[in-house]
Amino acid sequence: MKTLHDIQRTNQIRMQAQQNQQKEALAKALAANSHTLFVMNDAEFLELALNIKRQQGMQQAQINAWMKQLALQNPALGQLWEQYNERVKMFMSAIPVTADAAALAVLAKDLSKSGNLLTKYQIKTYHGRTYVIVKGYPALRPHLTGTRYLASHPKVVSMGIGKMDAAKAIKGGFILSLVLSVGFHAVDQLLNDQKTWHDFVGGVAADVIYAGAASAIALGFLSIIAGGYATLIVGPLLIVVAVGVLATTLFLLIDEHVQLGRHISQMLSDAQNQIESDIMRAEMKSKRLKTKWNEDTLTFLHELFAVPKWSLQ
Amino acid sequence: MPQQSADFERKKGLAVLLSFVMLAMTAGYAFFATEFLQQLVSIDKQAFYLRVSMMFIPGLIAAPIFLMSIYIMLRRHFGNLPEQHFTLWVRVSLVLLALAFMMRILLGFWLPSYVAANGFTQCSKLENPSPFASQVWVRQPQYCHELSYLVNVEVLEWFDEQQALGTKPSVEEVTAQIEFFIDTQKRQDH
Repeated sequence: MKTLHDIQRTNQIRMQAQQNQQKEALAKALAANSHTLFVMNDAEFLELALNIKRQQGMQQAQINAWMKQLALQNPALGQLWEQYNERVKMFMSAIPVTADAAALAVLAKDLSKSGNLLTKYQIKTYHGRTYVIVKGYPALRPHLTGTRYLASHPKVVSMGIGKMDAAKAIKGGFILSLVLSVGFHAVDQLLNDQKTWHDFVGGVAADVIYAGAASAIALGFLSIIAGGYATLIVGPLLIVVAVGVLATTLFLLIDEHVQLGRHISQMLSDAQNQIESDIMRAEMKSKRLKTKWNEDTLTFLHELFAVPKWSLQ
Repeated sequence: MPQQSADFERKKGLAVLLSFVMLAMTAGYAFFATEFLQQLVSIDKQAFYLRVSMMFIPGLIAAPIFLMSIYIMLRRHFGNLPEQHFTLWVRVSLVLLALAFMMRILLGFWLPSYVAANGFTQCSKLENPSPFASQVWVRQPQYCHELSYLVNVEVLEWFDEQQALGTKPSVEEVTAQIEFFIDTQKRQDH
């Protein structure tokens, strides 16, 4: 005979199991819908390329030969490689910014052929500096953290979107709209050369926001229509999907006036300029301190520790 | 009809919220479609550009689905929804969706040729880079500058202003203005 306590306990266990299942589903959905764009400068990209080759088991001599072979396609890459080697010999940490987009393109193309790691990448020049944008894959992550530059200076823009308990049809639609969006902005970048990585990331982010909002509407609608029914027949499900599509379309039509992607792109650009100017200011400050130290070390130390400097004369 | 579940009360709030959202979506499609149809009717008066979307009219055709869905959601949570009404909603919605889908295909064939026949040229450089974005057709091919994508918002807003004021600048004046916008943007970027 089951007591009330037993029934409560069984219900608790059942609820716990359900919650665990939901958590697992959420984790899975998040992993499946996660898109990561890696934005790195030329030095970081060169490090990444070398790390990939080292992980693939290449020795230094083999890497040298590989680089020389690629340099035949683009001499600028050869110069970059020589500069890199010089810096490594002198134990210097940063490569001067001299790589042009074409040189990096040769490198990226070769990596996409061999390791299957960079199937989607873009190379953009902005304010005279070259950037590489890579759409992230789990296989790429160990390489990114394995490089000196990326481990210490990560510039990673991640967008994770997940939905739990979503009808399969809506999930499919949501992922599809994301893939289209990424492809669309990539093509837009290739056709319009003066657009920058800010436009790319801003545009994709705006589409993700709209797709997320439309999915939320469709999911809410689904929960209201389906509530109480054991199974939902095809007709109402089609209507729910259509509502989601119509919502996405309307958001994108409204965006032609709102221009959310452009605002995000502007924000990214402003943030980058701010960071660059902050770094420049910090460098100037450190140079000034260095000069002060060299000119009058004692006065410098007095000022640093706020010790008064008295003279008995 | 379905049994009332434990979170029925919570869903009442969601139903009201979604009703407002769907009402806004109906109004949105009605507004865009009306504006678009007005432009098409007075196509000769469009001195600068035309925004052409294949989705405005199909959206308007499908808009009654939103209104019917509002009825279904509210009646189900604040009254008693007859089974026949639910079935009717599904049938009418599917017919409207099929009509909207067919209209979208027909418009895809007919609209571009109609607009081109009226002397407009498509300018992808002024379009929004997103799926489902409207096409932009300009009155003169010179209005489509190679770098217009950098200032598409400014250029289209300026076109709207000129259209509202009723001014008729020459082709040279328009291209000079577009180049001015591009130069200003480039200076801001560097």
